[in-house]
Amino acid sequence: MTRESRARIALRAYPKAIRASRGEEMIATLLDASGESSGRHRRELAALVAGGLRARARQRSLPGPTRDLADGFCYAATGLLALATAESVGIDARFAPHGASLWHLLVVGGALAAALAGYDRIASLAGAAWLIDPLAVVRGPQFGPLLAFDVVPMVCFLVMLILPRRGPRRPARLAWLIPVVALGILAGAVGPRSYWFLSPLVVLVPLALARFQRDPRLAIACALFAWEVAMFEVVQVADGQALPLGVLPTVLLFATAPVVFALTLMQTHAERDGETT
Amino acid sequence: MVASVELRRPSYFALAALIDGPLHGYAIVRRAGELSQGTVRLSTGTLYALLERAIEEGLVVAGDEYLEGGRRRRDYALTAAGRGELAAEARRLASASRAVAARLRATRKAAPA
Repeated sequence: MTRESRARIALRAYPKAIRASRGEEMIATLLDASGESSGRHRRELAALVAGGLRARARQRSLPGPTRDLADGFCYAATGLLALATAESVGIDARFAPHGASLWHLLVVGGALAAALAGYDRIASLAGAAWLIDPLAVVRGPQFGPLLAFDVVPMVCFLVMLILPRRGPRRPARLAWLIPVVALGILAGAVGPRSYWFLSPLVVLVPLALARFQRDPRLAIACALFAWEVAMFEVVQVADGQALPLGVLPTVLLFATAPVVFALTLMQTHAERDGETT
Repeated sequence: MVASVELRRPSYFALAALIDGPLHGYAIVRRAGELSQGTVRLSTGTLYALLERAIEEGLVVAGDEYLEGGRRRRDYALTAAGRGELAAEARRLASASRAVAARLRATRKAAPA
């Protein structure tokens, strides 16, 4: 394999647009800079791959449909962590806390704190740890059906890990832990209510609809949340119970996410067409 | 134009390489090496990342592609904003250097052997 063909392979780390506009001159520069030294050539190739990956990461952080979708998944992950933290606080408020429940609260609360402060990668790993732990230990024979309930959070955490939100860290946002804990204590005081976790949607859904044209990210997060509720319904059926919400609402909940994703993409295309005409 | 911000060493010497006129990628690598007395060795990946950013910030403009010795090249030139940014950074570095040198001179006798 020639040096040039190695350089062309390394260049594939860059996004297509950069390869098309600068690729040939980058290869020329790399071959000149490598000189006769094979060590220098290897270092140049490694630096080119690193530069390409950085360029891809930078491109993903720019505004656009990919960033909107990724942000929506990150918001949904944060919302699901808030819900899990509130639920955990509620359980500890109603029953005497013990080692496992406190550990659970620490992991899920820590994940939420990291997500709020802007440490998305840490939040996604802690969130995945929160999911995996009860899967393996607590669920036992119900493992299969309950696994379905973990699909949406797991996908959200995966997106959060691969495409974290960009921007400054915001420790001040840790203040959001206060209403989350308050909601948990309230839920613990009133006892188990299957759908108490839908209450924040009363505020969030109208807000998401009002902002959709300007900023679809909250709508994407709400749609993912709807999908999670629909999954909850499916788990109930798998557990031998009738659909608590009924068939049509469950189908509508499942349909929400694809519709919102499609509308986001259509809106982006329309904006792009508007810019080019 | 962007507000004057501190330039990192590779960016500083890559921009400084263009003071005397437009250069293509490899010529910038060589000139930056000379100006920094061998302390800055720009890799191709680093060079194009910082050129891309400098173009976005209006510090550098890219010319058209051309062939030279069978290789595709493109010249990059410093803009007026780029010269201003470079001058501001040079002043910052000179001022920092003077301040430290003055303190070293003032405390020379006090330093333990």
